Amino acid sequence: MRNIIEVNHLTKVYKNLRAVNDLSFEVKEGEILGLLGPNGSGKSTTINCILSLLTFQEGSIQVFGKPMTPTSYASRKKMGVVFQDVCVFDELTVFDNVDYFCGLYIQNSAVRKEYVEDAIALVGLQDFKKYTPKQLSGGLLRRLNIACGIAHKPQLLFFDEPTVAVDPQSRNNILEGIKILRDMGATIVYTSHYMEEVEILCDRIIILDKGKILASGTSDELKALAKIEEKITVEIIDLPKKYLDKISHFSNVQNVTYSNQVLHVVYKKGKNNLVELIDYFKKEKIKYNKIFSLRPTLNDVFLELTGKELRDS
Amino acid sequence: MKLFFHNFLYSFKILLRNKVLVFWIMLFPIILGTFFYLAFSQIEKKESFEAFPIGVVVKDNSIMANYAKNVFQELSKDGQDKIFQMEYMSVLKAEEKLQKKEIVGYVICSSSLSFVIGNNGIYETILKTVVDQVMEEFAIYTTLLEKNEGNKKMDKAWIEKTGKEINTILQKSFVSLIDDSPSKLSYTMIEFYSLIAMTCFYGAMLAMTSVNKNLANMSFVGKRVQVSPTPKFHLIFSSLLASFLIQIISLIGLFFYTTFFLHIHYGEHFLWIVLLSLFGAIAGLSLGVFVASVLKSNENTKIGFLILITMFGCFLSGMMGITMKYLVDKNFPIINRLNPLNMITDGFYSLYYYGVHGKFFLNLFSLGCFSIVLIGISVWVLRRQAYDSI
Ligand SMILES: Nc1ncnc2c1ncn2[C@@H]1O[C@H](COP(=O)(O)OP(=O)(O)O)[C@@H](O)[C@H]1O
Ligand SMILES: [Mg+2]
Repeated sequence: MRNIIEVNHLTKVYKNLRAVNDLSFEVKEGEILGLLGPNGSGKSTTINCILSLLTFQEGSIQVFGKPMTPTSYASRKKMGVVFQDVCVFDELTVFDNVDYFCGLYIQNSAVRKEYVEDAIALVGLQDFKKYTPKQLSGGLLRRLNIACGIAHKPQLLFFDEPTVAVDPQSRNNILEGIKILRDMGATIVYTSHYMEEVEILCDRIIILDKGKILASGTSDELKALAKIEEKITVEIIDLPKKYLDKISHFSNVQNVTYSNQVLHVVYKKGKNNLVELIDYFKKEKIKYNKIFSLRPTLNDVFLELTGKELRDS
Repeated sequence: MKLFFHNFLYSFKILLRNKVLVFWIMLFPIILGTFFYLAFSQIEKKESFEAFPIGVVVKDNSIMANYAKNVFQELSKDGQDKIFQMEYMSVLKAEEKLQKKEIVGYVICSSSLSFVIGNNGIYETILKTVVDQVMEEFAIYTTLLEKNEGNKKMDKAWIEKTGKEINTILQKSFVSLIDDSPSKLSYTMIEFYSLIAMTCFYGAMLAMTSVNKNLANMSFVGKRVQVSPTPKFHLIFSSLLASFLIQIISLIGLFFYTTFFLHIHYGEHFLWIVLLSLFGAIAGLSLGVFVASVLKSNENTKIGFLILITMFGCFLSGMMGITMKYLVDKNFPIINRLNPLNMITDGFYSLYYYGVHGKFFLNLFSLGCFSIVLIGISVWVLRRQAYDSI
């Protein structure tokens, strides 16, 4: 699979802040690459450098196999960007906004009209074509922002936090839309600080913090880094201490806690941990209500790597 | 070409839908013009011209004093050229009369000429103009005297000639006050000239918006525009053309309205008026481009800044009355030579009173230079394609 984007040792310094620090990665044709990181970790800066909107101090960037410069018009023609900020004209209607931006890429007006309609349909704004941005809710506005970025059917797409501050319905619409674009063959760079989105959407994930890559790989590969395999939570009315000690000596168990009638068992590794635990409860005739098992999340990975939570950083 | 037109049409649409811009460039000049018309036509009706009282204080018997005395006498003779009702008096007496508003002002004649006026109004402006003119004529007179020595007698013909000359100049500046042709608003013409200058320069807001929308470091939409596969200057140029068109439309609207509804008569040199307006519009546009590309602050701040300098420039060039322009021209000529709004106002003014003349071309030339310098700096700044920070 050919590399659509290659970033080598990219470093970007704002005045005295090192926003991106020696970043290297590549984006392969047809994949959705997720850049996951808390606010201020350098996701937008990285994208703006790739787009040649920002100058940078060190490193090199290749897009479609050629060095990217502000005048790489041939490459730009095949790229589409959905910026983190809503970049639309308040004076123009939904249709005109999409048509204007699409017109910067597509000059044939018949083709363009079709493309604009397609984009509006993809984000589900058919009923709002004549609305101006000021009349749209936050979620619909974000969808318009997306339509403006994708209407010219680019091969390479950037989505910079497209779901920030969006209602659940719009969020689902947006995520579905991105999957459709991927299925149509687009290569996508997707940034977010919501791990659930990145996990369900992206083929490969790069975890960023303070401008540096902490880890990268598929979501399973990343979770292997979390050093935990499974967390099992059980509601038990009464659990005498002796059982607790017993359980903590099971193989693979890393940690056991019991408080407020809830038992937490964390496993380092292993496959049939849940079955083993249930069998044990049966054997000892311990009564329990609910039992569920959690696989590690990217948040656990982030916690493991940085010592802080992804959500609240 | 298609792209150029696409961007042009949308830029046009975007600008016309911007209510703030449309108000300032299309409505505000018309409202202000109507206001001027109502305010000044009232004044003109009330103050139809008659000779006004001044005091003349003769301090000594110098040539200057004598000369001035004679000229003021000449200008107070009954007849068509009468401007003043003059009376000789002492300084004390004059001061007292001025306090009581029995005279508009008084002139002190000695080896140099000075004058004291009560408040600022049209009569006071006339008095100032006369005093300045007398001094200028006197300078010419003394050079002549030196050349043909011996003839130290005050020449009556020369005094009469000076009187006539002063009258001509006053007529040019304050036509309706002296000649009473009712169709002309004339001494309020300067207000309408500065109104045109203002409209030209409000175009700066259009230009500023048009440029900003194409710059990634100035607007959100600019980011989207700049990642598109289109050369930046191509789009900026086409957007500017749209804003220029709107400028022209609003100028035509203003000329149409003031000519047909307010009965303002702009004079005969139609083509030259058009040329000067175009130069003015381009100068306004250049200022907008300059502010857009050089000043880094938000759009509303920039609009406020543009309104402020436009209004201040208009004020200095006589929008609130000719007295201001007169004072600045006389005391700080450099300010009004560099004030682009005055270049427009003064261009119209000289076209009206002196015809197609060196002074008019000087103003055209200055406007051209103003535009070239600002556009030059802007292009230099805009050449950059990527930014340190956005
Ligand atoms: N224009 C700028 N000037 C100075 N610092 C900036 C600028 N833009 C972003 N930063 C800083 O750079 C860091 C990375 O920002 P950004 O790339 O926007 O992060 P993210 O998109 O991951 O939230 C942050 O600390 C931010 O404060
Ligand atoms: Mg960001």
